[in-house]
Amino acid sequence: MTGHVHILDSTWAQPVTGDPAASAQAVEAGLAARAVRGEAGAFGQLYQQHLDGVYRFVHFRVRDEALAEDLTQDVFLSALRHVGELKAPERFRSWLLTIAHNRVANHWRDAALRPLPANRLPDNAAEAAGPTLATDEGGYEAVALRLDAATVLSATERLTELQQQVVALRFVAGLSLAETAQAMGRSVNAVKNLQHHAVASLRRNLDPPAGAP
Amino acid sequence: MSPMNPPDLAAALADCLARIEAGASPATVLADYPSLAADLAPMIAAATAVTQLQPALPRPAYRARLAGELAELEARLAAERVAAPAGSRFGSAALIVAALVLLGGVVVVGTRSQGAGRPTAGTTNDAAPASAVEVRADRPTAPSPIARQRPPTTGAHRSGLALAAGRDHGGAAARPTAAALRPRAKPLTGAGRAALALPALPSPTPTLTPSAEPTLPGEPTESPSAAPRHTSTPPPVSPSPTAESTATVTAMADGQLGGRVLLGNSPLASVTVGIFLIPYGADCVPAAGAEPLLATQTDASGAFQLTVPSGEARYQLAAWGGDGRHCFPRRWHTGPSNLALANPCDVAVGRFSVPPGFDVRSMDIRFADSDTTPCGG
Repeated sequence: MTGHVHILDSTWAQPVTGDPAASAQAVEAGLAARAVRGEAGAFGQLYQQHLDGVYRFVHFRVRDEALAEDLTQDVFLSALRHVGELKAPERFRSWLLTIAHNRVANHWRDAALRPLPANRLPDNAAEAAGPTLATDEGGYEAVALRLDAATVLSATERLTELQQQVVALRFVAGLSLAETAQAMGRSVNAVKNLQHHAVASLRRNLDPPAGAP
Repeated sequence: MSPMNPPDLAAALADCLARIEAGASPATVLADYPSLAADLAPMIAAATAVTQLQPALPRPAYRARLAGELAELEARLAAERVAAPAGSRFGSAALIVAALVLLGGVVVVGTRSQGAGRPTAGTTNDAAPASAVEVRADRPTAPSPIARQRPPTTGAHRSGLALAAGRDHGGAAARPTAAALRPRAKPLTGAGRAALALPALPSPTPTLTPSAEPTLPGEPTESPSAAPRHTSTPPPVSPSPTAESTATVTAMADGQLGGRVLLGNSPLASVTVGIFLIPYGADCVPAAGAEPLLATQTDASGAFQLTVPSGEARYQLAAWGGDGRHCFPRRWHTGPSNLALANPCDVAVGRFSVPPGFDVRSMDIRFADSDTTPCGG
């Protein structure tokens, strides 16, 4: 049997313009509110907007594509299941990244899979030692010029778990200090100090060893 | 090392980073902390270096697969929400009956409790218990359009041609291989693919029955009293004369989508026809890296036929390739004028619906002379 195609809507799709990440917070809050109400399609748009950010955050934390894909999938499936419980739709992004943060943390904790790199300090080790900041004349520009991606990634891998968490949430996910504190379940002041120790450690890790060319 | 109070430095660093994130320059913020600038500068540089790392991005194939899984889950959750109030009522009734029995008060209520929320078939209550609304287990899951094992390609139209090569013109033969479609991680099972960002289509109202047969939104029930097929279908009109169209396809079972590819009124043989799954939440198929879910080639009469998987999804149909004399790129059109644009979302859309239970639907794809490109070049 051969039938006919039924044209329901002859309007043409409008080109998508602009960067989704640049969407106004109000627009995102509206989308999130629609998703909270269970409106079809709203969560799909949020997914399109936030997949890259969540994946980037997770990938930075696990440094493995396959694992990052698995965990990111869990994050979005979990978010979809619980989006109806979101009390503040305007904070959808930080809520989503909190789920991602917890998912990564649970992965390492539950599976006990995370190997401790030989050069990796346990939590609090760096804090106990206190920051030892370089005071050479390099300054901001000089430090910025000699960094490359591999060096930076290697330097972050040598941070403690807590320091990695705060670096990932603050500088990879782009959460504010307050949002990071909420995601980590700590006070803002605690995270402020943790950020300081993390960045100071990162700074040290980025310094070439003494005697290096 | 300069003398410092770590808490002060932490606060200063936090302030500097927040202002830089808001758009201030490092030099500006450091100027406000002259005594700490030597300490702050390298830390700010270190933090900035992390923010400037090349971002890891998900593969297009992964993006599409996860979108499909989210669509399936959202459809399932929507079905559960529809059934939840009824389930709650039955659950409450069961609790009341249990309480009465425990109190020793033998009260005949005329309703037999068969576990929480599971009424006897034939009850006069026309609402379904929550347990009845589950994903149909025997409903085949629409294959994922792209799999991890298949590396994403940038020349989508070329890969589409390769995909179609060597196949006959039957729809079933146009299915991608199982290996190519196998999801890699934790696929949801059971539900057919369902798109949620669908245009407003006249789909049947979800009907819940107290039988054990589960239903999904938009699916007609298999009750003998169900309305005849196609009652919600609008009257047919002419197909869009564009080379590509977005189709919202609803199919109870795998169905056939066929038609002819024409250049003007002349049939085009050996032209590849592909169907592309529009990613969940997206308006269109992305131009780069898109691979057809299904593809086939036209026969000597320009005819093609594709087997559309069951479920609901938003598809885009495209034709490309050539017959040796006329060749056509797979391009995205923006309207009846068939203007080719680079923007991947400049999609020519003539939405059409294939109602549930369809056998064969046809759609002609008509190229214009202006669409042709040099062959072999």
